[in-house]
Amino acid sequence: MATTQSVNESIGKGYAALGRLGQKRMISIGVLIAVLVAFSIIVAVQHGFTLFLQRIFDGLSNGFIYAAMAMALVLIYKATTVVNFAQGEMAMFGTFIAYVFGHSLGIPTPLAIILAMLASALGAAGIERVLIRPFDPRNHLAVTIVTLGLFLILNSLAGVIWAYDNRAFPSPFPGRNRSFSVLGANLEWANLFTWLTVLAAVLLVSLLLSRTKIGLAFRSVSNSLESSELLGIHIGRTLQFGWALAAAVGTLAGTMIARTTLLEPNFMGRVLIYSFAAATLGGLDSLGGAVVAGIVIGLVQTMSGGYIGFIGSDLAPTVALVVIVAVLLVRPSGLFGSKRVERV
Amino acid sequence: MALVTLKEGTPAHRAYVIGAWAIAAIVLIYVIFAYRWGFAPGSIDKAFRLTQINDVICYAVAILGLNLVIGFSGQLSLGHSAFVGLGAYTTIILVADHHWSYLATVPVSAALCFVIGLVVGLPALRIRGLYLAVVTLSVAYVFPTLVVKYDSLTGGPNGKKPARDTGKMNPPSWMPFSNAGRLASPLWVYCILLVIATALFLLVRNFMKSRPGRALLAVRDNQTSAAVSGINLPLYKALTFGASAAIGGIAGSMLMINRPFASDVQFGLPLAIFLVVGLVAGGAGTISGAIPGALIYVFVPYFMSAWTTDQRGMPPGIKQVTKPLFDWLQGRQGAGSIAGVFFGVGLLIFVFVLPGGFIDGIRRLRSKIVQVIPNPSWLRELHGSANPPPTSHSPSSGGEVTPAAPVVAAVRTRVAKPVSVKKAINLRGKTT
Amino acid sequence: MRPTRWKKSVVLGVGAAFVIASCGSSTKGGSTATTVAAGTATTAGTGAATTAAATSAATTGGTSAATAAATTTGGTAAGTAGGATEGLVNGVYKGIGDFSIDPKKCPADWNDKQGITDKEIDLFVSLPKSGPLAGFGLLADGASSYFKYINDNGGIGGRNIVLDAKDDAYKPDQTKTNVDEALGAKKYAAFMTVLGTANNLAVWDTTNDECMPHLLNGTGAAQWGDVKGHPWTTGMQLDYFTEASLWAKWLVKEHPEAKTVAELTFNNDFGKSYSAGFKYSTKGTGLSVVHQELHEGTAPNLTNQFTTLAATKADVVLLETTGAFCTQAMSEIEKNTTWKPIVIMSGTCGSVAQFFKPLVDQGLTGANTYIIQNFKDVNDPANASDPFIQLYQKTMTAQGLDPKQTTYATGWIYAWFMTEILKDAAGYQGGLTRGNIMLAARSIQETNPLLIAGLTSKMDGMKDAYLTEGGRMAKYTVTDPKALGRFVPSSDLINLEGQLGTYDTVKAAAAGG
Repeated sequence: MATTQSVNESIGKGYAALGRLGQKRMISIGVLIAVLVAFSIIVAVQHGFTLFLQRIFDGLSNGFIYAAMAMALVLIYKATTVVNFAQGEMAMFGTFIAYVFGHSLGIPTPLAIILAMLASALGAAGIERVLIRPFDPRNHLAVTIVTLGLFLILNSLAGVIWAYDNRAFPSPFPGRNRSFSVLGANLEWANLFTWLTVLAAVLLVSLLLSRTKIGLAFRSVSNSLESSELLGIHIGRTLQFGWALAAAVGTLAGTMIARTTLLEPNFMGRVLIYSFAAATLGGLDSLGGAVVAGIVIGLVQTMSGGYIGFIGSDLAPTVALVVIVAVLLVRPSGLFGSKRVERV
Repeated sequence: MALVTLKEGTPAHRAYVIGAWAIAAIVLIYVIFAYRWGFAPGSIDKAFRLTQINDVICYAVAILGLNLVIGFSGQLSLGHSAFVGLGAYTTIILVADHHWSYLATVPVSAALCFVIGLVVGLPALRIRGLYLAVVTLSVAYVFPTLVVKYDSLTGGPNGKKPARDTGKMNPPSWMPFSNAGRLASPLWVYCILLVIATALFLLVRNFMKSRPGRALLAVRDNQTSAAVSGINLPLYKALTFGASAAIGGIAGSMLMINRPFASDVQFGLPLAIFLVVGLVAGGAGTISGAIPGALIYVFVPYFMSAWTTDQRGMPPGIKQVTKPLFDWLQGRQGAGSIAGVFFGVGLLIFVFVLPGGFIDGIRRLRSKIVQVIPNPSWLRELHGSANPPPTSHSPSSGGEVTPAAPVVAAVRTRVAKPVSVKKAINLRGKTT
Repeated sequence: MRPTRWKKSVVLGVGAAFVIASCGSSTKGGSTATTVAAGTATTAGTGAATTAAATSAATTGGTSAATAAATTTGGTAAGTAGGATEGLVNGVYKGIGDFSIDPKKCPADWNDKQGITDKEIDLFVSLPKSGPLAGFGLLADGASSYFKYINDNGGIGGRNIVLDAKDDAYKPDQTKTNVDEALGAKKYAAFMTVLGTANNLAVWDTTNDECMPHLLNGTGAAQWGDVKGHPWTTGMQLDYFTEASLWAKWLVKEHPEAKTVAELTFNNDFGKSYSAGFKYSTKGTGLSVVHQELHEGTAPNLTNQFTTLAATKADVVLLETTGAFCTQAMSEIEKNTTWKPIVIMSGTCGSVAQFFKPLVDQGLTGANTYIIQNFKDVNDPANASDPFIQLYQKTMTAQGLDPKQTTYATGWIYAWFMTEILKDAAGYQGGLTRGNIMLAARSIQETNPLLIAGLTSKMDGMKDAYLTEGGRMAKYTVTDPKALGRFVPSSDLINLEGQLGTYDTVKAAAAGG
């Protein structure tokens, strides 16, 4: 009918326009930066520069936390094109293992974290071998259900073993609870070290993927499964490597997060939605994108919650999610994700 | 090889189909009269159990709606709980604050959810795959936040229910069970919900057999080809979201008819995820799969939790096996969470054993007993006789849309093809 | 495919049935619909909030163990139990304070002796045993352990008290399901200690309509004083509104120099009750709230909120929150070197082991945090010679449970009240029946041995519908930063026994202000 046709046409025109907007990268980025600068100046003048800087630091701290977990999600997606719902719980379990190492066995925290990363890598490799490999990698729905089942098991198991009392996770960094002042705003040493650790992790993983043989295999598999099979790459083992790497990164992220969130079986659940959002916003197959997107989300949350009265801290998460949908409309593969070419 | 072979179109086959439906109808109607005739398996003569059965009907409708989007049009939507919640809150607010009758609110919630579903579906036109999954996940996450924020309308975390002494559905006096005391209300609700659910199931089933329904399947299998073949993509995708949301909203209203109480935690992320689990457990892409999915969603956590708290109710065999576990759990904080472990393990076993879902298992079982050779009416007309052209057997009765597994969701054509069930499930086989 | 005629008629038939159904069904006549969310005198809600008294039990009492109330549970408590004047008189139950129950108003199949046999009294509780608040599930275990002690020593006139528990994961809809099932089972004499404000609000209409004693709710909402509208429901804890009033009174008296107040409020009725109570009680004083930060139960941390609060440089900060958020809040405040306000915290965060220990593990202390206390801490060495606490520790150890787990002690508090109710009811006219249990619940005169010295726990029918009506401000004092500290009393005891009245009084106070 004429109405549906005209509606279709207008929808099509609308999306075409959005697509063109996404392509004119320079202009859209320029406009965005101008808006942000204007906002910052207005707000800093009105409420004080110190508060503004403090909020920037808060936003960065939260943002890096989200980014850390988003990295693990991106790694799994790159390897398997599946969203792993159990990633958060695997990270939580790994953090508990680090806690047990540190608390009950008295191992110093940095070493405990590294050992826990190794343990969770091994565990994830086992999980991949037993639970994931029997399925065709193209069977997304079945693998997603497996990850959901894992989510339930790990979460409940942690509850049974360790109960729900909150525990403090020790900080692996020197200068506990001490902060230094930057232009009037407080920055905790531990936060600064967290940022550096996350950046270092991104760097190391990128190096791993680009300079090593297994990294090459990984990238090949994530690019095209069929071609890799034809090349003789062992898909199963490569995926296993991907799972192990993602689990290790996840555990590292979990230990960073538990420092401020306190350790209990549900602590990852509260962060995970933001990490999913960060991974999506940045592009599900872009590591750097995950970090950038995480920072963006953290900043949006802090700034909108702090400065825009009617939003307040309780609606700030909603604002962050609205931002994501808006960006995805303009760039459907995320900020830095690779566009997929659909073949008939 | 099956025990019995039937040709479609023969009187024997007709008798089989009618017999199957008659048995289903008898079972459904027996529930109403079970309290009178003393024989009540599963204690269906108790009001509590009847309310649970009503819950199953509601969630079956919810999963049916979700199936439209995930199973039949291939878009991964994890935000269905928001629509169920929207429908539920629409009903409860209209009933509690404005004294509407429950059934009058059903069309309102359907219409409202349809519109909102369209709005949510618009980004889906542009965002695909897992990006869409995360966006819809965010919708599911945000819904409880909004409920809490606008607590003057929704009652916030305290929830909303009708005023005391109001809001109960009582059967009219001409119903045979109107004097059944405490059972009268649940039985009446059962009748109403059954009518609504049957109507919706029939609607969706007929829709999927029709031309637009097949267009939807084409969209699921390969969007680009579908578009190239002339199917209006934006229309179908958006309308699917809208229709699925509308059905979800009706399911929410039905939930309120059964238990008139809505709170924010009821309609959050866990519901969204469990609806997907129920869908896949029942059988994605199948209409009847919604029923086992809902049965699993309502009864499995219930029994897990009941047995965890009080082992007396467990069947004797399982009790012995799990006794050491429960002894160790005694007095531990968080012991109740073991129910979640059981549920997760059950889910994993399920996915390994029945990846096509429960319905797939039922069909395989049935194919060992009865085997129907398709001989659709139009083919009969074409060949002008009752004899079908030679075909090899296919394991399912004709007429239903049956992708056996989510991956190989081939649209079944009317000409039977030799596709064995094993290949279709594709458990790491090298075949397509 | 030609739709066959019969299919068309089926569709028509279904549609017709639908229309008939909507005309035919009736809903009972409706009066003014009241939403469950009350007005200003609001109540605690859900989210991840804990509303039970579980944590407030671990607050220290401090002073002399020679409290008159610290009698053994042999039953001879101070104060009068209901004498023989209460009970079933001419078919109506009459209690003290003008409270009465007319069984004719109960459903036709109401059984006065349900759940009560010569051998057993069956009680029911629905509380979280899984999920984030699973810690409170131990309340049921603690209560059961006290009942076991009573049963081993004769029970109630030879009857054993049995407590059945069901898990609701703190979800109000699940609580409703559990309660509906328990009501339908026709097995229980009474419900006790159902946890959570939203959870209790979801079921209290039903329990009152079914004339099921719904006693000792495990939350501090002011609603449970609604003796007129919901006579079958009682609470136990000091309600949050009054708790905040005690804060205000203390500030005015002890810190007249404080003028500005910042609030961190859990975004549900639990937090908002405190806020409303504080606002009401500071009318006409020099105190004013300059900023309020709300937070959700799903918030990962409170950094954003505290940056904003610290910028106000207020003199006082109120932590109207619970659970892990208390620990996070105290840690944010302590790490801030420039802002040093007076910190007052919700009594639900009083458990030193649960909420202060993680601070110590982080290298912080939480020192100088103030909370209102009304129950003794069983782990405080100063209480070691209290006879009831010694009994508690002995009994727990004999049963193989850990006495240091303060949630068990809270279970004992509730179970002690329940036992006294049952004992009193057995002595009324008509003997141990559900009606008498309800009378006894509204006539409690005995003082709970775990209450801090000087407080009483009395209910007076229609006149005094609140059980715990007082408290004392205490300060968390730390001598060794590497070890846990204790709460030291920091003000006189404020005993508002009998002054809180009923929910009507509280509501009027909140509205009128």
